[in-house]
Parts: sequence; C-alpha cells; structure tokens
Amino acid sequence: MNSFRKIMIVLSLLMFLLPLVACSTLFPTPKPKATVAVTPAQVELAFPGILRIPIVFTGTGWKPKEMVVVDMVLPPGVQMQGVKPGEDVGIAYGEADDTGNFKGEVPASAKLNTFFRVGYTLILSIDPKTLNPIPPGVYTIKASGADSGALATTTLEFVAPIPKK
Amino acid sequence: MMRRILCGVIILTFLFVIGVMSSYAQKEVAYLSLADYTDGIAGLNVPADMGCEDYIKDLNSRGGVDGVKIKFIGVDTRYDVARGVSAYKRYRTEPKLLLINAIGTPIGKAVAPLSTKDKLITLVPGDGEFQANLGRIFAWGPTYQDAFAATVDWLLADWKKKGKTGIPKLGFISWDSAYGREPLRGGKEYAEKMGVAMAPPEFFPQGSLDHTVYLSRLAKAEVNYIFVGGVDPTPTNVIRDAHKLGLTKTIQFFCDYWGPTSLGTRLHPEALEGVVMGSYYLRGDDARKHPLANLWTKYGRGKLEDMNEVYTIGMAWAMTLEAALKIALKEVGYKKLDGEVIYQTYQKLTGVQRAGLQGPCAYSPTSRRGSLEIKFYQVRAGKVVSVSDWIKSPDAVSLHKF
Repeated sequence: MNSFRKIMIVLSLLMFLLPLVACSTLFPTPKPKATVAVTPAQVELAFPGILRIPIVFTGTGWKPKEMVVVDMVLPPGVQMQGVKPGEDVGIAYGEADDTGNFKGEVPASAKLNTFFRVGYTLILSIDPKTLNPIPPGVYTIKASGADSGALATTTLEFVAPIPKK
Repeated sequence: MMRRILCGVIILTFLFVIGVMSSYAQKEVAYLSLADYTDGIAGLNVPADMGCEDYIKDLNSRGGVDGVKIKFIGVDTRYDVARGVSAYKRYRTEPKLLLINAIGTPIGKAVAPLSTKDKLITLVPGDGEFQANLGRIFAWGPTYQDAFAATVDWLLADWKKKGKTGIPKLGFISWDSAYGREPLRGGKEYAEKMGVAMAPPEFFPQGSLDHTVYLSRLAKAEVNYIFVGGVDPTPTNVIRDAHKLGLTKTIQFFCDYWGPTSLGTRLHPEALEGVVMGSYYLRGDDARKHPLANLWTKYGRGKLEDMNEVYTIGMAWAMTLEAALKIALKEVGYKKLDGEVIYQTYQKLTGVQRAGLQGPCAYSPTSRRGSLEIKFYQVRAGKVVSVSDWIKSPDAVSLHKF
C-alpha cells in the first residue's frame, strides 16, 4: 500500500512538472543581443600615421566560435577599387570565443586599400602618389555573424589630418 | 459549365507552360574566385583568372558539362583578407555555388572554416596544412613544402655535379606572411634531414622596394644557394637587388611557383640569368606552344608571345572542375548536385589528366595535392627554358607538426 502511494505521488509530481518543462521550451531564455564597438571611435586620416594606430573592433553576444565579419558601409558617391556600387567593404573579421566575445583588428592592407584607396606601381608596390583618402565623416559599420546571421552596427568617424604647428 | 471547362483548360495550360519552362531553364553551377586583380599578386592572378574564365567560356559555348554551364564569379579582394572573408559571406548563398578558389594563402586560411561549415570546397595555392589536416580544402598542385623539398634535392644534385665537398648552405627569403613561411613548415625539416644547412630565414614586408639589407645578411651567413619567395615581380626585384650586390655571381638563386615569368625576364634578363624555378605548371615556351594556349588569342587577350604562362594554371582549375562535374552529374544528376557531392567527387579525381598542363591529378580520400610533380626551369638568355622532366616531389608535409 505504501509503495503504491509513493508511485502515485511520483507520478502526480511528474504530471505536474512535465507540462511546466514543456511550456518552458516555448519561452526560451532570451539570447544576448550581439554588440560591436570600435576603439578608437575617431580616426585621423593621416598617412603613414594611421598604420601605427590599431583600430580594433570588439563585440559581445555572438554565437560561440562563429566568424564575425566587419563591413564598412560606403556612402553614395564614394567609389572604391574592387567594390561594386551599393556593396559594403570588408575591413576586419574575428572569431567569437566560447563566451561569444569577438575581437578583430583592421589590417594594414585594409587601411591602405580601403581608407586610403591606394594604387600600385607597375612593379606592384604601393604608389604614394595615388593615396586618395575617403571623405572624412561618420561611417556606418556593420558586424555580422556568419553562422547566426546576427547583425550589430556602430559608427567609425574619420577626420581630416590635423595640420601640425 | 462552359466556364468551368474554360477555367480548367487555362489552369492546365498554365501548369504545362510552367513545367516546360522549368525543364528548359538554364542549368548552371557557380565558381567563385576570391581574386586579386589590382594589388600585390595581380601580376599573376589576372592572367590566371583569364585562363580560367576563357576555358569556362569555351566549355559553355560547347554546351557546358552535359548541359550544365559554369558561372564564373571573380571578386577583386585586393589580396586583403578582410575583403576576402566579406566577399565570401556575400556570395556564399549564390545558387549552386560549388567551389571557392581562394587566391592567396592568407585568404584561404581565413575562409576555410567558413566554407567548411557551408560544406563547400575551397582551392588554395599550396598550404601543406590542409594536407596534414584533411578536409574540404584542396591545393592547386604539390604543396609549397613539397616543392621546396624537391628544390633541396635539385640543390644537392647540383652540389655534387659541381664536385663540391662539405655541406651546402641554403638561404631563404620571402614575404613576411603566411604564404612566405609555409615552405619552411616541413621544408626546413626536409633540408635538415638531407644534410643541408640553413641560414636564418629572412622575411620582408610585401611591397618592399629594396631588399639589400636582407640579402646582405644572407651573404654574410655565407650561403651557397638562396630560395626566393614572393609573387612576381617580387622575386624579380629581389634578384635584381642581389645582382646589384654581385651575389648572383657566386650564389645560385631559386624561386618557387611564382618566380619570374617570361615577361619578367624581359625586364631584367642579365640579373635573372641562371635562376632556377620549380614549377608545377608549364612555363615559357612549353606553355605558349601548348595547343590550349590558342584560347588566349581566341578570346582577344593579345599576341601569343605576350601570354603570361600562368594563364595555363587557370585553365587547369577549370578543367579539374569540369572533370568533377562529369562524374558528379553522372552519379547524382543536376538536382542533387551540391557542395557535399563535389567534395566527394574531387576525391575521386586521382589520375585525371589536364592535357599535360600539370601532372596528373592527385586528389584522393587521403590527398589534397592537386598533383605531385614539378618541373625545373631556368632563365637562359632571357628565356625561361625547361631543364628537367616532371619530377615527383618528396612529401615534406609529414615532417612537420601542424
């Protein structure tokens, strides 16, 4: 009799808990929102000084181990070699760690090709005469997760070189 | 009643037209080239992609592979990894995308995890890493370290032929990049194994205008041979600087796959005289006299004597895909054709010939090498001439811990 009561109690508890467990899947814990930030937020378009300044993107809330691609949105009228009108241009990338944090630095090649729109000589070395910095201003930055499809945005401001006294 | 019959006829006609249209819709697969058309490796990438695109055009004009045409998508990444990754992300959802050619070792390494997750295959220049860790990444030919090892064998034979005694000393100079360091990941171990001493390697930033500092250090280390990496015109410029320093009189210079082409040798014939290059593809007149070189003129690229021999590499990429498509379409048909099928099929291409443009295909379940053989060429009187048959390159990948 005792054991029968025990079984009934366990079964009752299970019947009570199972719907709760089932319902909990309908309301999953909200995923952390993906974020992106850039340091520094303002960059001087000075050559070659820009090559010495690390421009680093960091973010949280990404899917662990996913690749995060950082693109810069080109305003209408800003043309760039290798980029079709309307396309964004990749400037950094990084892999999210186990906790969903990522870090990606703008490589020198992106600073030259994208921020300075540099051309090359016939022997394929950088031609300083072709330095053509993008117009100063605030540019939208889009970070996107390759697996999750998550998207986060920030801005990066480019300022004209400050004349030296 | 009449209205109902009319409606029925209209619906049936509509369904028939849809059915016929879809069965006649163009069957197409996509090939994505993450290329460099305007930056440091453009000198070779532009003609190579011309070769690929022209071969595909020609193939498509003949009806494609069993009616399936190939769409060539070329993106100018400017040899910039961030742009390469971004471009891959943009085109990864292209309908029937089967293959990505990551032109540039650093781009290949960055894109590999993404394309692997997407179950697509990626071609890369010569990373031994992808032979050591088998996956969906395939090299164009023998790996860089294998080719370096073959050069070590050539060097030892040369040392013996010249009647020299003692241990030859080898210098290494290349770009400070993943590509620049790759040949030594297994190649260094091979040199040590074969009794060749190596001076500390020299790495310089891509785009350097002057290389005399690095070369002077190698000269001071009393090397007998120097292996020069970098994509032409870099090797041409390095050897030009070595010539200015008088080093080419006493030191034998080698280059890898991307050493001076015939066009480069026209600029500095005196400096480049005697330089030896290990190549997995045909060079010089071997390339220009090949029957497929006629595509260069057929598609309006200019005079045949101006054809850069890397044009043939691009044709070989396309021919490999053509061979894989033939097998895959026979086995699963167009509808089921996807990245996974192409991955399985590339592993069945062992022994496939590409009209002799390079050695037989060596892809298999245990090999990601595009071929195993290299051929040695030498600059003689301003021309790139063949000085060996196809030689099977040693396995240097297995000597390194990746």
